[in-house]
Amino acid sequence: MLTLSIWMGAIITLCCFSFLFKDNPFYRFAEHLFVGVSAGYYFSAISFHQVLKPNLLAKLFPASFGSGQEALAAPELWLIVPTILGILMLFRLSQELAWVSRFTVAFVMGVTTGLTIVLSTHQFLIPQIKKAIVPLFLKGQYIASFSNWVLVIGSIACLFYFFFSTEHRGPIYGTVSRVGIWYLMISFGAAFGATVMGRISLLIGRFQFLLQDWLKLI
Amino acid sequence: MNFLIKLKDIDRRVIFVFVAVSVCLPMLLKLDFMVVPGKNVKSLYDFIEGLPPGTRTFLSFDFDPASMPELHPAAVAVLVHMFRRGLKPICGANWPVGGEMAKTALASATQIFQETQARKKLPDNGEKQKLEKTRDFVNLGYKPGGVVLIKRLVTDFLGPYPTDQDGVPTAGMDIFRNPDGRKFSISDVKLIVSFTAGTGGIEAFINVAGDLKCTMGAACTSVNIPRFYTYLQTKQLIGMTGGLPGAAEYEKLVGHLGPARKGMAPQTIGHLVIIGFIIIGNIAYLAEKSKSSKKHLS
Amino acid sequence: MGMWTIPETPPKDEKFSAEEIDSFIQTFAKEIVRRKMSVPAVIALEMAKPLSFLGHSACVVMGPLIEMVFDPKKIEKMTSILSERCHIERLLETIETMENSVEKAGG
Repeated sequence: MLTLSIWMGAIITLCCFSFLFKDNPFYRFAEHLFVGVSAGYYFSAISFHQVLKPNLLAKLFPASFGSGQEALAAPELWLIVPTILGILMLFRLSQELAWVSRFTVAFVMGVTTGLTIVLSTHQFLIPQIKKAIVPLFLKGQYIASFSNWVLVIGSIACLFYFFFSTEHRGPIYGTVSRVGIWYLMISFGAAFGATVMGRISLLIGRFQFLLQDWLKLI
Repeated sequence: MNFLIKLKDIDRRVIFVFVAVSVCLPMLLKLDFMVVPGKNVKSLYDFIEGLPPGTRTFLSFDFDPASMPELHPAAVAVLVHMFRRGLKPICGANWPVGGEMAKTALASATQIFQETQARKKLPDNGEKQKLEKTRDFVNLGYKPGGVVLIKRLVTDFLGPYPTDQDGVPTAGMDIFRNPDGRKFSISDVKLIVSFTAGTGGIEAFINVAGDLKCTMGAACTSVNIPRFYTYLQTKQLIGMTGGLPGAAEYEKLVGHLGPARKGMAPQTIGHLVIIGFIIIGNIAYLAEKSKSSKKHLS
Repeated sequence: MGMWTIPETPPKDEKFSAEEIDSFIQTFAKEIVRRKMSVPAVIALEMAKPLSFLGHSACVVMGPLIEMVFDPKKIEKMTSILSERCHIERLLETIETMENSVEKAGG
């Protein structure tokens, strides 16, 4: 069984690598297979067996879906409310009644937004703003002072750039937003470098699999 | 000059062959490059090193097989370190396949731990420690909810997890038992580490940090390193291992030659080849530009 | 069109005409060039091009939810663009052409 899975993994890996030469049916087979298997796995193994069954069905109908001690527990009837909200989502399938699903989305969005705004402000926004308020002149610490200048100018310039209500023109607005673009480009460069590193790591992972597990060369 | 300009039109497949060879050859030649642990990796290691034996930690596996080459070695290295220190990791997942990722990492880590125990010389009356599921570690598997789930853990840790991933009831597990008979709660967890591949990982824990009141660390993919550095700066994270190099640094600290350390030579040479091609591309661009400007002048 | 057929030119879409897709690509490219984000956009698109079919499948699955927030027509057009790599190629070419003309105009 293990040998079979290794061979399948190796063949599909080679199918994916074949795209580097040019787009071809083997690559298309691999990507269609990936989409199909992922959809099947997520909807059956994850959504049903790991989410719906233990969190809803086993609690609402313990005798039928519960196992062990769980099967003897009393049904948790309050779960009918999320069940109804879930069923409302299926109205998206009908064009005339699609609006019904908005109740569920409104509920989910309301809860998520309420939680996120408060928590994000406390844990992301305020700590980052606090860390960006720094002294610009530190006695005898030239590198630290320079670093603080870079931080403050960058924060202001990037905020200017993301203000799209007026065109980026003029001696002040145009220049500052241009500085903002430079900062963004540098950060994109860092992100691109990190992405290259990540992709090379993934390639190493695949080659380790091919050379070690499949061909047993290393 | 013409040769330089021609370099701009190198077929992309030539570059792919160079990158493939640069990754493959060091592996076949078994090259081993020096790994020096960085400040952020070391601070996570030191924190774990300082925790007293028996301390419970929470490890969240927030990745899927697409990020396995980067995060699996880090997870194994952290787990091996925790087992050696006598800590008790409680594994969970915010990503659907995270439970499976935790299972694989736990299997590798327990195997490495037992192997190093077998090689260790113990005093005559010493007994080799054997790891036992539900006593020394537990895999609670995936639970949907993200931030909402983590918020629930604050009020009732075992509420969302009546059973572990294999269906064993958590209520009677040794790992959740407190000596004073108190109910297990989040305050019994002294460190949270998330192996994060994207959203819904460590950021979900940081979101609830005010309620959790717990030290946090992270292991992330290379793509996320620039994003998560900000949390190190604000001291919201005690330490972090970033990408395959971060995992290699942690492997070095725990003295284990795993896939991350073995991957450092191909990674370095692969990067050098890419840097080389970037330089070639820029030279070709500048040569072309100077040729066209000369044409304009004449 | 089956999975074994690899189109050289953009195939005819059942929902949108070639002109509609083309004007959407033009609008998309114009917005990117206007924000002076051509370089990162080209890099990102080149990197994501091989995975466009996965993006298309994700759009199909998440469509009902995304359409509640964004314009459904635009989402459908985006899904159509992602369905074939040659559309992404055309988007890349459009961004590069627009960027070159802006540079020439500026210089």
